[in-house]
Amino acid sequence: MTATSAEQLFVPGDVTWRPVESALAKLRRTVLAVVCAVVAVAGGVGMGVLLGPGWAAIPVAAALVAFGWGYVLIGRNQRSWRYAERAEDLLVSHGVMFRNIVVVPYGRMQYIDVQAGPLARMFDLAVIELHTATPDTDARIPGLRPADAARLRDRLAALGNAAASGL
Amino acid sequence: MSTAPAPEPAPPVPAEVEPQRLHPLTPLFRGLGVALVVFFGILRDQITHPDFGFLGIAAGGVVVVGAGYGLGSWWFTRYRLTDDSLHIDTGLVMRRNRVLRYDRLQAVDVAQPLVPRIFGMAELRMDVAGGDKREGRLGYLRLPDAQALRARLLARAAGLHPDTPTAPERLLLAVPAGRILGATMSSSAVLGGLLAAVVYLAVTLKLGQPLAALAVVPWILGVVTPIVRNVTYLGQFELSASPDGLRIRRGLTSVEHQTLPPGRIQGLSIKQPLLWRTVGWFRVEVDVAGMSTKKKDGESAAVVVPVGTARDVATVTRHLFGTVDPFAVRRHPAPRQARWLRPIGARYCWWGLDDVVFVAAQGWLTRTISVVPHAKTQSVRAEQGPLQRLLGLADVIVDTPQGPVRAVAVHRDVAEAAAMVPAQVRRAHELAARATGDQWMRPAAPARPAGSAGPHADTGRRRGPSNSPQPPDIG
Repeated sequence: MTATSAEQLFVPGDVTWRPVESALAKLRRTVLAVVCAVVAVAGGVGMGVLLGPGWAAIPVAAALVAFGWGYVLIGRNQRSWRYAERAEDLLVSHGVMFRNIVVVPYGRMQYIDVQAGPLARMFDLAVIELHTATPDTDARIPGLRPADAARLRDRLAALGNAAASGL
Repeated sequence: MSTAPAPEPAPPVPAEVEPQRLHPLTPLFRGLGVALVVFFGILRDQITHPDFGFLGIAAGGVVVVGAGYGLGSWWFTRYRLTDDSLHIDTGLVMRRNRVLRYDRLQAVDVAQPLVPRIFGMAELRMDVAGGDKREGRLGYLRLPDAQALRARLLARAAGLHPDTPTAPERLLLAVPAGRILGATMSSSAVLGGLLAAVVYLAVTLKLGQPLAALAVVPWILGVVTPIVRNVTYLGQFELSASPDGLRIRRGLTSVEHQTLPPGRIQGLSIKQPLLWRTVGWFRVEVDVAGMSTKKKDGESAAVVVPVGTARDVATVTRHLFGTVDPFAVRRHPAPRQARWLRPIGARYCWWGLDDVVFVAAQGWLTRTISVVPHAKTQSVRAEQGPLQRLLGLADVIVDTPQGPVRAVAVHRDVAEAAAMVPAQVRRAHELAARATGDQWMRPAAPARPAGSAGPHADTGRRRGPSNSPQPPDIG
């Protein structure tokens, strides 16, 4: 009973949810792989030089374990991201260990940002961020195709204008 | 089609375009500060080998230069009121012309720092939308002149005839300086400091080192100074209600006023530290949109009740939201599992609501009750950490614009939270559609002829979010 209640809270069933692109997981796993490789090489060389060739295996093993664990977590996290556009508000839900859902009424949106760093562009991804008058409102959706992000932004902006109510 | 008689034409609005100067004593206050600083700088140099001749010349020179600067800046400062804005020209060397539009004026207040107050002078401080508070200052004028100018500016900003008198104020509560002293003394910082001083004194005297005991004097001074500063800053605190908004008057030696326009109050936070529970005192702060609530002398600029009783708190909430008593809403206490995460504090975590506001409470060392009008809800969130997941709990957060208010219903049962989030969203939507936001300046009824309506209260200016039905304004 509790599990389904938690699902009902963070992923309400009466809503059409859209997932984010799986390329987000690929992007994050690539970054993780690079970091783990750097740690493995640097650590391995360092330990090998300082303590002896046998010791070089430790940082390499640690990096491998970290990569494996991170691989799985990244996949789970990416699958947990979802968003939904309803008639009057936007829902964004994410998180596996720390679950999170935010409901933002269109009339409260102050401005919308679409961003894409160089790595994200390589994977053809962008991040959309909604800002209200509250800095705490964490309505951001990563892992969208730039075209989808632009379309969503325009739709949200139009809906925000229509529903605009004063602060 | 209307059968009502046509309104009489309003008397013509005088064009007040002749520039006015500020009061001639202004240079005394402006130049004085600079002169004193320079003089004390010179004095400090000379303190070891005083050369009285030099000091005399320096004093004379400083007076002359200070007076010259003050007189010059006064001579070249002028202000005038045009049809739609206030123009201020300043500057001795760098000329500057500042234009403050009436419709951007949020609040106009009269302040009296200590020295001008002795002479009966006052400074006008204007809060302009989107502007720095420091920009809108006009000083110094005689107190009645400053109050008259304030009335004219407020009338202009409301679109009324400039001769309309100021709206009458209704006193909501007054905090005597004695209570502020008592409250400051009972803060943990002060008590800790005094306790440490006593202990130190006892130890040094026991050890037979009376001279070392003298070191306690600057320590005590360090504890006493913030107390004195706090009391003089807050002083005879008064909170009044007027159609312009909540008006705060504070200060023992320097008197300051502050106006909080009605539509801009986003939420309320009621706090009660442990020690005050014995006396029944509370402190109330508000979130005000469009104003920076930066700390000043340890006090936030949006404190409406620095120290008050439960009745004072009820007066304020009743005035702002129409709610009788945030303590009296039907409470939903935290579920039993919450005790695993907050062994002592779980008892004080609850939430409640009525037609107008959402109330959330937490904390046992400092009890905090956050009151947020549904109409001001920005977004609604739910969060759950791994420990909460094991216990079947989640937090529900009702977001308001940045400020001291954080309305978090902590550690609710997930099923309850799943119902709370959409319910709050729906409520926020319904009430936001009804509230009118920051149009407090515009009269709700058509403008009446200037002769009949006296104070602003009669033109039916709205007072911000309230429970009474509003005339449909936006579609």
